[in-house]
Amino acid sequence: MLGALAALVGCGAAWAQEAMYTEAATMPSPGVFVLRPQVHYYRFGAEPDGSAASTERVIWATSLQVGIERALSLTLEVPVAWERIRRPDGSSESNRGVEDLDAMLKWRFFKDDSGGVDTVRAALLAGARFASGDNRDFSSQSFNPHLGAVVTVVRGRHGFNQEVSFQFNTGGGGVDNLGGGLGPAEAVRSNTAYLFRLFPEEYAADTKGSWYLTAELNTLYETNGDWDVRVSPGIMYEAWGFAIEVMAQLPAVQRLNNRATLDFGVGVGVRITF
Amino acid sequence: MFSARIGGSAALMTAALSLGLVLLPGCSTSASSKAVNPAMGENAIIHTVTEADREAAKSKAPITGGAATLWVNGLGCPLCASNLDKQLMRVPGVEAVTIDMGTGTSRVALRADAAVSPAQLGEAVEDAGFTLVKVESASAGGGR
Repeated sequence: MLGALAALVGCGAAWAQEAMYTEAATMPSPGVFVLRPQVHYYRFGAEPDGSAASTERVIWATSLQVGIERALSLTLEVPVAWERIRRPDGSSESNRGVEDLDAMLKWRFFKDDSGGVDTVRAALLAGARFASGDNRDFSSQSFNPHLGAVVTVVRGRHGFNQEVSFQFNTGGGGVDNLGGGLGPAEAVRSNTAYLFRLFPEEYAADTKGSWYLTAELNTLYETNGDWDVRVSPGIMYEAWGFAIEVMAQLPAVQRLNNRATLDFGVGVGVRITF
Repeated sequence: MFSARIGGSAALMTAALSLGLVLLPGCSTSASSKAVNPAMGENAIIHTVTEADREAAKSKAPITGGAATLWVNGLGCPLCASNLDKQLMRVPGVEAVTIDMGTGTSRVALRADAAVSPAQLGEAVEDAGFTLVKVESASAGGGR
């Protein structure tokens, strides 16, 4: 990651790449929509309380982002989840439901386009996760506001996004907080993404798409003392009006006393603008 | 007060980032149209723009010649460029848009009876999230 960041500040000439788990200070223009369905698979280890030996969880997260006006967008996300829990006695059970819904406003308050493709942008993020109505373990049954900011820098083939956010959890005592951040403790997130445009090396008049290598560092701290740091390498293809992305999530630091550790995760998604 | 604060922070952020980039070997702030960046072994698209060009890009006088070339900053990935396409096509009088990411320009074809100004196109470019720095009408040599 340090090497990637060092490469970023080397400079050169691209823009607005957004990795899977990190926000970017970019958004659709007014009246334009971005539909972003993603499927994530996670495998977790044993629960600290001994209630599960391992858990597999699949989340189908669909988000719809719309440009409301210049520099302002609204994103709504619905994460549908399925999980299989293996008990210590060898038995297993499956559940499905809907995790907390998310609504978020993104306001770009700064933009400096210094070259044909080079840019520096910054945006504020404000929104809330709220009860989905799911009456099982997946929803916190509460209203949890979150506030954050993101900076995007693009220099040539290199893109960099840094996002920091705080989520105030007002409830969530009974939720299955397997992925972290759903409470009852407050959550602080720091997501860093580096994207390198693999191909084309230089844009041309007939460029129709770009391949990117992505590397993310996803950090989640919860005020109950849990630290969760993940490394997420991936690959992404962006074309005229759509993108395809494939990522993996690997645990880097897992100091977790209140939930199971992550073994690994993978994700695949598309983005379609219309 | 609020906007002044935001502006100050933004300027500070840009200054810090710019300083970091400029201090590194191979990073240039020269204003040639294709500045070679030895550190990355590639060409950066840096539009050569004068103050007069920037002022002309805000003009409300109709563009003549039935077409114009727009020099746009901040235009990078194809997915982003589709935003520009959509916003320019919403300007009354615009018939077709062709984006050339190799030069960071957008070619706009206008209806014969349309009275489209650089300012209108500039608003569309800003709506799309980019920055218009120069407009050249077909009659002024922007036609290709």
